[in-house]
Amino acid sequence: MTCRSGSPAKPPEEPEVSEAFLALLDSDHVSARTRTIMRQRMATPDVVAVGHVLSPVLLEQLRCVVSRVLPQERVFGTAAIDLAARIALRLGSGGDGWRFAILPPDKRAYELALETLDGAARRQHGNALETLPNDALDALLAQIVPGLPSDGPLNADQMRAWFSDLRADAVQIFMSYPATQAAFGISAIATGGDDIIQGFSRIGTDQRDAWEPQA
Amino acid sequence: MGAASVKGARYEDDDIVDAVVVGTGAGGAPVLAQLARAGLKVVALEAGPRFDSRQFTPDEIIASEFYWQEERLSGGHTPQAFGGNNSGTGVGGSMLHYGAFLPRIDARDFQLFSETGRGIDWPISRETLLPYMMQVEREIGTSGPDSYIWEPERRFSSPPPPRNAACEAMLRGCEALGIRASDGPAGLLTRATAEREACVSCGACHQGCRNGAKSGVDNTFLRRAEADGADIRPGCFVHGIETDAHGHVCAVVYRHDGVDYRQKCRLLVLAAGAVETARLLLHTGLANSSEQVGRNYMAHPSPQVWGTLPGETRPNKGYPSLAITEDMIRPADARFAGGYLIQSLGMMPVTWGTLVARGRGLWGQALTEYLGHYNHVVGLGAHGECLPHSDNRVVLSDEPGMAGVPKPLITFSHGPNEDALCAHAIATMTAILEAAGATDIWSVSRDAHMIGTCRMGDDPDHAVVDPFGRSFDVGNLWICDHSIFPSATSANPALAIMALGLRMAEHMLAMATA
Ligand SMILES: Cc1cc2nc3c(=O)[nH]c(=O)nc-3n(C[C@H](O)[C@H](O)[C@H](O)COP(=O)(O)OP(=O)(O)OC[C@H]3O[C@@H](n4cnc5c(N)ncnc54)[C@H](O)[C@@H]3O)c2cc1C
Ligand code: SF4
Repeated sequence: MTCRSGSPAKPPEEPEVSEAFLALLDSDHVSARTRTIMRQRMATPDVVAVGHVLSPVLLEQLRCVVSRVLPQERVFGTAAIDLAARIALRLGSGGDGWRFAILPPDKRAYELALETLDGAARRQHGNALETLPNDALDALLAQIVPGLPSDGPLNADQMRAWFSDLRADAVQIFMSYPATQAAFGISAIATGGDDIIQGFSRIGTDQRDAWEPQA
Repeated sequence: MGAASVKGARYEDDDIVDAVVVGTGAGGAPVLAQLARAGLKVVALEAGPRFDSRQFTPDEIIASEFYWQEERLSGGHTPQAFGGNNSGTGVGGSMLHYGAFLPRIDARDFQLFSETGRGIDWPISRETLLPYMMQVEREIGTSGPDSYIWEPERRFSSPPPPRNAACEAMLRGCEALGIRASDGPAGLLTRATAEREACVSCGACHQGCRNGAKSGVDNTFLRRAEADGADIRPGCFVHGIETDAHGHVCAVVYRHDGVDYRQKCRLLVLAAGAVETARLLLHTGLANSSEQVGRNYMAHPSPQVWGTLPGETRPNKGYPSLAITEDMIRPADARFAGGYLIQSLGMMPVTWGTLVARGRGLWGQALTEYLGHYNHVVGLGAHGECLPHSDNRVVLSDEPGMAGVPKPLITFSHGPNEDALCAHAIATMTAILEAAGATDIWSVSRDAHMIGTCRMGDDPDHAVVDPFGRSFDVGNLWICDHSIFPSATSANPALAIMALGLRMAEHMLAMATA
């Protein structure tokens, strides 16, 4: 299977958030501000804004790479959170307070890293990055940590640093997404409401408050 | 434009105030409170906003609102992550999201050079600092056991909070191995007071305490300072320092909402943290005849070990870092100078996921699957000594940052001592988790806190400030933040930074009346 066969130009439907988690979100264990933040996060990313940050080709390449770095099938079946579009939005909205000194600013680093990977894909497989079969793409990504032979704009050390950034960006978006927290049964947002900040009553191994979500 | 247009300003910029304090974190807040109590006209300029703590959110993405967001460049062989890990901003500084773990520095860590021939001695002893640490503890409130194993005379204002799964696992593992461990010293209240609620085990200390239970400086020293008349101005980034014909500071220049203001002052206290204080001094060229500004940057080697338990651990619940052992401050078989503390770790899901992504190096199906184990993981973390090294440093990069001040470039590489300490800590924590019944154990080497860059000492050729925090070069310039630590020590720093602030303020006031 190739990435393109999953119609990357049009991202898959985003996963539904379970009824139980939505009920928790609406309960008095969650503050109004946190509820709004989580609700807004469920909205599909604004394609126009995404387009201002990454070109369609780069976005498609990023979708392909991210679908192998953090595959979602076993959690959401055919649905998937559009991590690549959200990474793009983040790249467009300023950094997170630091960057590896060996890398250029975040957005530029992404562009150059994808260019480097695409170059390696063409050299090793004679095909563009976004058309590689999954196993070939995996084999390419597997070279980054040991040291990707590169004649592209980023060298092996820079690719390693970027790959760490990419994993972190993908995971942050994934773990902060309501459907993920629902699927994994995570109660982290339920620290307390606005009038009463309840916190948690049952603390310790195998201790769960009755209203906490379950996987 | 007059400072009266800066929200909250009590003084005009032409008023010569007695003191300006730059930064309202662990270092700045106690100084501000003491000077205000003594009746001085004081202004605090804080780059970050003033938050309404009830509106803090456990959502980790948005909680980054109190991280220092301006880009820092991180270099060296072990480049440090900033942003969420190692920065803070706002009225209250990094203590808005600190973990509230409040060990006192061990007496031996003040004299590391005398003991081992490595590192450097502090110009003051633990005995000197102890009364100030106790004063801080009384003022902000702490919780802990009746009799603390390593210092039975240490007193806490309330009993420990309930133990979460990580705390239980650490105590169980340590007991099996014969390592002493207990509920630790925490900067939080488990009994409500008139102004503050009790801890409700919500687990979101790092995202900001919403009910005032956590002992920050926003709800203690700063509140008192404002009651005593201090003028705290949020959203004010200081980028210039002006001196008079005698080389004394006479005003600071700060940017608020895109406009520059000048505040005249008799004394200046820099408390902007180890990166920003050094950056400001390098940018202004002040107080650096020793050429030590920016040098000896340190961070605590803070390796973590994680494992999986069969039962549910729900790491987001309960006060995150309750269990402690101080038994490794000088491990018997150590092949390194200094030692480390171990604490149990709760952790919110995004922070933990980031650690997994960067530190465990997983990707693909293995990554997704492991993230799904969140509700079953437990962690332990260490903080250890870091030897100062003059090549580890903060310099100005050639990229322009806020208000035209160049972005800082921080170079940090572990030396052999840090590597050996980390390896020892990882082995110890792995053994503890194994003894606690965890499987799928892995470790990550990381570094926490920003230390050094304006070392205090007795010798003006090798230090930036004297043992009270006063600049050797500029007589009315003082520094009180994590930058003045000569060595890292193995303790988490906030308590000692606040204590140094009280001590410094006492000395400033004594000088003023002398
Ligand atoms: C995630 C995290 C967890 C932590 N947990 C613990 C813990 O459990 N126990 C512990 O003891 N310590 C902990 N710490 C460390 C502790 O919070 C810091 O060491 C301490 O707050 C540092 O104090 P400081 O005064 O040096 O700087 P800060 O507290 O960071 O204060 C500096 C302030 O100066 C402001 N500032 C900077 N530059 C300027 C400028 N140019 N103009 C105006 N204002 C400026 C900043 O906005 C900031 O508010 C933690 C830190 C972090 C980041
Ligand atoms: S665990 Fe306790 S101290 Fe920490 S944020 Fe929650 S209520 Fe505050």
